[in-house]
Amino acid sequence: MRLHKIMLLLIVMLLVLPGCDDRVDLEDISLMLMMGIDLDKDNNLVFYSSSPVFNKEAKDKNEQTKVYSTTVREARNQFDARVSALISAGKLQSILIGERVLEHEGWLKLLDIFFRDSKANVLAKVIAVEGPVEDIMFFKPPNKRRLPLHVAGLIDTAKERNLIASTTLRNLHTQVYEKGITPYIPQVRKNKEIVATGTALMNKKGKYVAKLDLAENELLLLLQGHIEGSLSYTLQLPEESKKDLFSEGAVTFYVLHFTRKVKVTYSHDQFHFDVELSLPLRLTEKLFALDIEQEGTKLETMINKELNKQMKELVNKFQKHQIDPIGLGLFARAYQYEAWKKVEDRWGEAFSKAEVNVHVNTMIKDIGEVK
Amino acid sequence: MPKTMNTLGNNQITSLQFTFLVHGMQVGVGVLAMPSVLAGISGTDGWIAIFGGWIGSVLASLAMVQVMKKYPNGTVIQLVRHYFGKWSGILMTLIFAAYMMLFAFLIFNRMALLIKTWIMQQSYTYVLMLLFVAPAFIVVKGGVRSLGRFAEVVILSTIWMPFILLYVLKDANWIHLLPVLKEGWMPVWHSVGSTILSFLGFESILFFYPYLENKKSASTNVVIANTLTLAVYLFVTIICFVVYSPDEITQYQEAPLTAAKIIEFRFLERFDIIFLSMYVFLICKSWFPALHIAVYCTEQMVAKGKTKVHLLVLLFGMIVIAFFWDPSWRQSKDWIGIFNQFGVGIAYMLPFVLWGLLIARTWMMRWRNG
Repeated sequence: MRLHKIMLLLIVMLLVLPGCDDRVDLEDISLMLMMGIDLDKDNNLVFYSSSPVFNKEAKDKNEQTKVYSTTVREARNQFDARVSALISAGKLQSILIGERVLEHEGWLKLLDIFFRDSKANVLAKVIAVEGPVEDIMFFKPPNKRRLPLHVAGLIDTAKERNLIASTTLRNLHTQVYEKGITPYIPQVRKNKEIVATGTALMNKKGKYVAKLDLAENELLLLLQGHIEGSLSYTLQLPEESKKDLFSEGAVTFYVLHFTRKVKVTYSHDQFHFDVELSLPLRLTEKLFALDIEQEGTKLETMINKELNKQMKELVNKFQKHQIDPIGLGLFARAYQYEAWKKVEDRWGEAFSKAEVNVHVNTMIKDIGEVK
Repeated sequence: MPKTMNTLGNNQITSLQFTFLVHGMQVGVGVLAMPSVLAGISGTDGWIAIFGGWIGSVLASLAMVQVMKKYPNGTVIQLVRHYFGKWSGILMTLIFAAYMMLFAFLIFNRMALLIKTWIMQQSYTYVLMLLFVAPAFIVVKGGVRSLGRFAEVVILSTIWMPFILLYVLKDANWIHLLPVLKEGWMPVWHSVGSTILSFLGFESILFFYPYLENKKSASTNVVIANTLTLAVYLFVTIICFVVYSPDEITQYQEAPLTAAKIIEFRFLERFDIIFLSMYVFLICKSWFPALHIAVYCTEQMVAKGKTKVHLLVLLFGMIVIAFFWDPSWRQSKDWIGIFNQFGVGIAYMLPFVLWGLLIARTWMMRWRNG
């Protein structure tokens, strides 16, 4: 009797199963790992998809497609009409955005689907491309693994060394909606191989306004107060520069766990930021003769001076373009709410008028094995 | 007397089960929308308002316990019938039957909508609901003790979920919470209106109190239950507030689930799917008791003793409604809004009114006799 009941229950539950309408067999899925968005020379939107092929008969390990479309989801239909299986974006690793797209405001709207569709992967990286996206999408380097994985890996490892920013879709969403920060994404270029060239800075509407090289990006991350992995920085101290070909007064150090203090005041319709960075350093290279045990303080002072100068230049660059990738607006809101309220919708402009002082205070904690 | 699920003797529950039943009915679908709703009204100060809701619900819960003490071996229906007569009893039964049916249906349906939006977009809502008929039937037919055990098992087996959510704190920006009280107390006060609704569910005390083994601990238990709920709400809300920017969070419908998307391990992506699947258990333990109370009420009116029939009719009734009506997200929100108004009356006003009436009645008796 009991057995009958259980059988009945199982049969009833089986009857329900065909109701799952969106069942897709794994064999019928083509996992789109990388997608590209670009404008052609007549300003038509072009979409690219790159997905791995797991078939033994196929000679190429990767399948690329190019379509013209107006939206991402419409592009998927076009892809489906060309690729041998159903395109799924759930495993998407990177989204490449072409230079020509970035030159226009408002392209961020195109990404709406990734936030609205719960099947999308919000941890996909958004990457700016110098030059046409097509060159990268159809690139087949013989000595690398599948290209989508290579690109994602390249960004991850460069981020590990803090050479570029790594912005996922979710980060970008925050950077776009948060009024106190402006968006930034990593940037790559294809020469003979694919190179991560730095960080692309955008204004609030997504228009590309400036670029940071690898060293500047390291400084930006220091200003943001948080690094993951290791950050190694090389300075050329003018005081120690010699005439010979190789020295240039170079010193290289790792920045260890550091602290950042931000003070915000508001007076005369202007924000004043005092950013104080206490950086413990570990020297890894020193191409000049200087006895650190005797003159350690002198070296620290020289490093401070040089870093302060470079920070100043970097902040000036931000202010010139009216962008705040550091996110100092967050501090303005937290500590000067009244004043912030008045400028929150045009923070870029207010930030460009603000006074930003960066004080770097380095401490050499470790000089390594030799003097 | 027919042996039904509602006999007191073999259905006693422990203090822990009682606490978890009350707490379990409070925490359900509401917490998913809570962070963005609060942020919409009072920005990142919204979390302060949760304390307001907690104070309200603790006071109302304590009042309920005081009321129930006057008739410790019956539910509120029997209490009203005993003190105020048959017709008041029938009115009470009707009100609670309607309220709890609405409760169970709306949460049940919302749960199916959540599964639909997040996991199976193309499936029919009623098919998803159909899947839960068997478990709901099995748990609820067992009566209060079975519900109590279910709540225990579910809460103890999902206790890891908040700890997993801590992972997203790696992206946290605690500075988002500053300045505290940025616009003063007024916006906070406005959002208390929404937080007291999130605590709805403690009205189940009126029905579960008679089953509690150790009735002396009832007051402590309800305070603990409400405080647990407060802890869950505060935890989730603050995590969402520090992970998302205050300007951004209002964009998300279910911010905690979206936050679970950030969790990623080398071997596992899309953690939100696992999270939601487990969360479905938590949602179930909020509407199963409501279904039990609804059945209890209908049983007072017709076909007494045929619990299973009542249960099946109600469950399949819900499926049929979902089949013909199929509420959209907007309709679901509107209806839960209406239901909440109903809830304020039942959970926050009724206990005080009953308590006042009972005290007045005692005075009257004393005055008449004295």
